Amino acid sequence: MTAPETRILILSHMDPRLSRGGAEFAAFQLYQELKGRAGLKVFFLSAAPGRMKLRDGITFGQPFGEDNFLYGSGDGHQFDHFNFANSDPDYPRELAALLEELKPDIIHAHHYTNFGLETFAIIRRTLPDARIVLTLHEYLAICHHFGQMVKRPNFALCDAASPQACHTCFPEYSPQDFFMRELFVKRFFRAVDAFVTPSQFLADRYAAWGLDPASISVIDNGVPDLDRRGTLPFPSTDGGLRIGFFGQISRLKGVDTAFEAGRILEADGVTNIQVEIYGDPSAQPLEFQERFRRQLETIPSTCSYVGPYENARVDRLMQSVHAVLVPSIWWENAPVVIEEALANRRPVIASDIGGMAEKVRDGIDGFQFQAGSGRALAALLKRIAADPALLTDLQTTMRRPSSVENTADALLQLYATAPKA
Amino acid sequence: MNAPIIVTNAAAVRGRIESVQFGSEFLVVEGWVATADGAQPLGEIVLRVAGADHAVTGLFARDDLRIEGISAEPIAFCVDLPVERRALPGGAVELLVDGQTIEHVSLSDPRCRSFRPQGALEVVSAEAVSGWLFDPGLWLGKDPAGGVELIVGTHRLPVSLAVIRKDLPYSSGRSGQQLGFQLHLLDAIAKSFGRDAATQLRTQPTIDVRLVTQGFQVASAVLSTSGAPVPRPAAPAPAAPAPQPAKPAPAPVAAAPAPKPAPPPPASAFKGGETLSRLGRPVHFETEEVIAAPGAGAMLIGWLVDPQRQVASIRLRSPNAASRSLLERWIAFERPDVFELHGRPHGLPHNRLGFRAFADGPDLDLGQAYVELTMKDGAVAFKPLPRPTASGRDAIQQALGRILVTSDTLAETMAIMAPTAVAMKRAQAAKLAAPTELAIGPSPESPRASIIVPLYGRLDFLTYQMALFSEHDAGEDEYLYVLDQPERRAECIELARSAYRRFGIPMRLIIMPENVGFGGASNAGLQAARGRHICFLNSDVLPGTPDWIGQLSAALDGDPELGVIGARLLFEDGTVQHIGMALQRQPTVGNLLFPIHPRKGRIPPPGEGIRDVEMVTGALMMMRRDLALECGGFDPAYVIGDFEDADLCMRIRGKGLTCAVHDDVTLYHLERQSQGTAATDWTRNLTFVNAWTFNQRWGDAGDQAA
Repeated sequence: MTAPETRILILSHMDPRLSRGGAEFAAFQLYQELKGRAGLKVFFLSAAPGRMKLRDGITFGQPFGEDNFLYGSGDGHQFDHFNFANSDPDYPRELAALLEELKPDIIHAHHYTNFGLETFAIIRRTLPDARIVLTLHEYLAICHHFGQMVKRPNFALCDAASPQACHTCFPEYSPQDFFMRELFVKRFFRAVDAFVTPSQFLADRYAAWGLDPASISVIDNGVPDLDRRGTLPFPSTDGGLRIGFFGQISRLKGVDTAFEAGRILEADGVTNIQVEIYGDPSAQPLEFQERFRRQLETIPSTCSYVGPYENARVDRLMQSVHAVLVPSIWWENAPVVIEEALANRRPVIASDIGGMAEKVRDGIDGFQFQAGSGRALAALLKRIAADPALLTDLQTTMRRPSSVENTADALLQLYATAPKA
Repeated sequence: MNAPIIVTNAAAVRGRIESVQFGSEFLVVEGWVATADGAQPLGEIVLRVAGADHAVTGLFARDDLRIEGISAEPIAFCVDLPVERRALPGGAVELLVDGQTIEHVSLSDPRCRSFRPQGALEVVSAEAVSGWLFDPGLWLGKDPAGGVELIVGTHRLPVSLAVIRKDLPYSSGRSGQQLGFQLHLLDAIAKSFGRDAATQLRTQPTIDVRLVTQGFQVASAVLSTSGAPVPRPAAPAPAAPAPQPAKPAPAPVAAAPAPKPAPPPPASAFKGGETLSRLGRPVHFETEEVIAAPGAGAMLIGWLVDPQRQVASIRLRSPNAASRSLLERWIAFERPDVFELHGRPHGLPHNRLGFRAFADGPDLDLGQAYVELTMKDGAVAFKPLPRPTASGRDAIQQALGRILVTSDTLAETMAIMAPTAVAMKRAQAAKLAAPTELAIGPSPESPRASIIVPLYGRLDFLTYQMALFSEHDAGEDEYLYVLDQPERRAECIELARSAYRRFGIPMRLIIMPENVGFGGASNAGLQAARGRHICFLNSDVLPGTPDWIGQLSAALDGDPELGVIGARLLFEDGTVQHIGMALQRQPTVGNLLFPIHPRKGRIPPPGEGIRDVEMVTGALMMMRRDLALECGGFDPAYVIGDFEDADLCMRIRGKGLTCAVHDDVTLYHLERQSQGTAATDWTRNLTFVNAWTFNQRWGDAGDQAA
């Protein structure tokens, strides 16, 4: 008699077929990996507010085929982004019905945005024996500023939330509002059996915030197609160093720091370093795009803006540079770009804070520099340019990132052993 | 001991001659004199008439002077001076302090008029008739004709004034002149007219009694021989007491206006129009606003100009009822506009001509009421009354708004405000339509506890509370939300339904027909509750201890002498919001008792389990439902929040039960978030009204409670 299969429902707040964020990719990768394994029955439930409209009377549609469900996010009701509360009147009933139909043993949510925190209570009521796992991708539960724990409006780093401090960043909400938000979030988090974070840094932040550290597991987000990457040899450094930035052009990603470093290098007469910026500013506020455009007019000779890139070409692009630059001025969690760089056997030059400092061990996986300091970055680049062996030596010490298979294995282990909340 | 040398700065002394009344061979001069800070001047006070100086003694305090802010000290005088009539024409009366002239009144001034004897019948019964009469002609006049007489029916009895009356506002009376009289009526009749006359008197159901002198009828009354005192026709009927002896107040209630005995009540003399102007006196009275206090009377706002102090009383009348005089509960305030028009031409020394007054008249029919002004010499005038404005919460707001109450004016302001506000509140409570109830999901039939939460302003607190309650609810308790803002009914129903769908816990929604405040809304919840225990809970209280209901419930079950139990309530930063309440006198607020929260804002001290306290906050109060019903919930006399929780605790303690706080049960109280707007004048005055009401009831007991 065959063992009953384990039924897993994966929740993703956005669908990677409709948007391009890291969390939905990670969730979908997991889904695809698990789907292929024996003894598992896996479903994927995503939301897509504003991206795809379902017909009236449909709460969960199936535009993407078997075992895939899309929550149309209701019609005319707003998701409350302050409390992560979903007031769609049809959702609780329809979700309960879907759960009873699919009967998952494990519900692994990669987010609660768009679905709402009360989702965990609904699951708990409907399937008391199911296990609920939640992957935390950022600090939204702690921080209302896009979950990034930087102050507003000056983007200074923030170490801890409090009703008074949060009110200082958001005067439009009272300290009592933030207190109630915290009570509300924690109440529903208590319905979750196990938390997953891709970095120890994030885990530590949440433990400090009040989650039981024993309930948090640190599991890397694996990189897909690991074998296909990093096959090209490390390029020669004779013609100078090429450092590549890959990602969103935004203030928090530290593009200003890169330009500042480039200006200092230019002033110092350094000519054998090129910082190449690959990315797209079009998702940013208009004033930032305007400012970026002006910066490009006076871009130093040590920098060049290449423009947006296709995700499919990232491996080739990364392998063409000597190091990948991750100069974010916020904590970061477990940037996918770091894993991809390491997968392509390229060292990473990263800020010395948060998830970056954890994932890029200084002198082993790459080098760290003082976050936000163009001067520090310039000095580091100068040092490397003078002695390129510093970079090439890392080929033997850089860690290999996890594969999606590794991640899936670790998660299956977690699903089986996590105690009930 | 040598008297200290007093240097009087005459410029700092002020005064006024208010009236000069001519008798046959005497003058009666009324007025007052005070230092700049309202004290009695230490120097020699003299009235100079026709070349002769007369010392002014026998000063007394007057309520109207205190109300106008001139002085509460004895600074008024009403002196009778012998004077030769021939010496008067073309002359003047001068008021001097230490030789400096304070005021000079020519005898052609309108303040000068003829003197009429004044008096009153205070007690009229078969056994005793007593009263007083003031007529300096009796001791200053050349040949007083006839003296004082009491006419009883057709019998004339001589009256001798043999009682000293220092309480009356006459300087000579204060100096020992006998103004009062007392006699045993039937004995006096029997003595003068024989036993048969006395017996015959007894057979008449009513007898007219009149006090007369020098041809003037000074006062009259009707004696009912059945023994029950019949209110005099001149006096308000039926609720008013027998005429008061005049304390330091505007001059005594005067005689009935009509010469004939037992006229019909003046009510029938009012024909709808105003008659004040027809009296030809310098008295102006206007009512600008009437705020009904049903079952108690009404508050009036307006202004009064009475430079010669001719007005004795101002009442409201309706066909079968009359109020007490407004002058008894009267606050004056500045009216520069009225002063310009009426005050300045009369040389009034101040512009506090506006008034807020309370007409104490429970039986008044305000729809038919009018104003009756009675002068000291007996003349009566009428003025129509404007229609009452506003009602309910708006009226209360109007009544209490725009008044700045300070510690020293608190008592008299509250004497006017509180009965008005309380009466309006009680009337509102009495005629309140029934609330409607909506079931949101199936609530338990026989719950352990009923959690009763009034909602106002921040309705979204319902969502937060139900989200948090849902975590540990096991179906034993019921949740009643009482919406105290009926205009937001649809919004509230949607919120409640959404909460039920999302969090799965049913609730009962009660919708008040109008806004009634925390007490009324909680009481409506109490009436609907089914639990063995009920818990009044503020909407901005959020659970901390998971099993808070169970623990509080168990505490009540465990101790039958425990009347009400509360919990530790903390602010969001973990400091104390409430760990018990106690009464404390507040010197800056009229020294009234206020409930305070000891250790508020401090880090919570170590807990002591279930701990007895003086009282518990209404933000979280759990008690047995039958006890709550027995107490009638919160007293509706309290106007829109504050003090009603303290009052309920006092009543529970009055039954021999205790109040306690469970230190092991912690919840968060974000405090007054549900109010929304900042405290304004009228909400602060509401607190004063409630404080006054509470202290009227518990002011003495409170001191022993500690």
